[in-house]
Amino acid sequence: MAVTTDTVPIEETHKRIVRRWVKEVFNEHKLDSVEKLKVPEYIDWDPYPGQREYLSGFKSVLTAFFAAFPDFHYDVEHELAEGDMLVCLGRWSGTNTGTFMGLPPTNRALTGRRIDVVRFSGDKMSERWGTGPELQMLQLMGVLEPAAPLEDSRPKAVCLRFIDEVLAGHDAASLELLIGSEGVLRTRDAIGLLVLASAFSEITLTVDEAVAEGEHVTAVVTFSGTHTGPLLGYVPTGDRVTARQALNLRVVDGRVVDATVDLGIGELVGQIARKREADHARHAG
Amino acid sequence: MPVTLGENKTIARRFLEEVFNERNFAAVDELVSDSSTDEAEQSLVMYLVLQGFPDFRVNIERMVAEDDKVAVLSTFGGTHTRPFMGIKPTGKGVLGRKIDIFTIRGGKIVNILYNIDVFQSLMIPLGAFPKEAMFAGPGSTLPSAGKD
Repeated sequence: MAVTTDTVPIEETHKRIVRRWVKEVFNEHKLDSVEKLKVPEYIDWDPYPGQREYLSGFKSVLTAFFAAFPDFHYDVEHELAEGDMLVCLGRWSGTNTGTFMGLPPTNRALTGRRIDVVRFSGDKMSERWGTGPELQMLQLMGVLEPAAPLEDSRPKAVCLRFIDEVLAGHDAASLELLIGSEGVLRTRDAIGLLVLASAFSEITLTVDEAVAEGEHVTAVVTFSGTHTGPLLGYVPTGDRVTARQALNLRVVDGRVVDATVDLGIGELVGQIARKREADHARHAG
Repeated sequence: MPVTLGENKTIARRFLEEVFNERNFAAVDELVSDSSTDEAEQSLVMYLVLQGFPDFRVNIERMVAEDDKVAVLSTFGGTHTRPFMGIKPTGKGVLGRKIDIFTIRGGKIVNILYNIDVFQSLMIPLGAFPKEAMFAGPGSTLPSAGKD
């Protein structure tokens, strides 16, 4: 860990500066603090769409946000720092009571989770990178069709919508509606889902059976997909493969908060591998 | 034996390059704890992205580590060959920004938080929204992720 002359680790100094930025700029909406905390030659590697200049342009963006969301607020969830770099995981929230990009106010409370990385030069920020899927903002701007409202918030109904609209339908607005912000997936299941998503197209999922017990739902689903994408070194084979699997989901307050969602990736890979082996054997024979 | 920040960075890098980019489970047992969890919303966003962009890959630019966490700053590339968030396949290649945070304990990943810039990196290049409609109006010349 780098150390300054007064023995305060430089990382702690950077965290203090970012906390000051969050307090003054994001939460007290003091735009004058922008230049105090960023160097004049500041570079934003991910400027907002249409933003013209790095510092003054960012102030214009903030002015637009604060007008649209007068109660705009940002909470730091976690920060990590090493040397001249600092990473901030945070959540913004705000109520859309003002005009945003010419759109009339919706009075909806919006939130989004994002990660920003800043680099320091001395005691000021000199570069920034940032990401956030911003699914609620996309709906506000009309980029995403909003999902149908939740008419039945019972666990089984929520799970059936999740399977149909998110896992099979790949609908982002439904994802935002049906997944709790603190929801978790097993990492292994998530890897399986990501591999499956890139490997297969024309995905269908049929629910063969679904049973709810309290907040827990077990659904037996049949997955079918056509192998048209990368998969463990197999070039796309065009094979149509099918697997049957039981999913376990937990629903609290109309949202999926915990899910075991192995769609049978192991079985699907096995089917493709066995078919190739059979083809090889036929050619060899 | 204490685990160093450098070792944690190696684990995060190997996960992204050997498992995520290669869509390969081979190294999962070695790199990921059995009880590891993901932030569901963010992983499911990636599920939608990989469905729309089957050749999606990250290119690691920087890593920042502190205690048991490693943040990985990447650019990504992918080709829009399947429907994505209501947009029919355009065949366009996109480049964009991605940042992921790994929590690593005892040499294994115990939590992954993916994060991706959907609007700027994916929706605008695919033509889902006119860039000019935002903020400063036409004439912006600032670069954005992956374009420089």
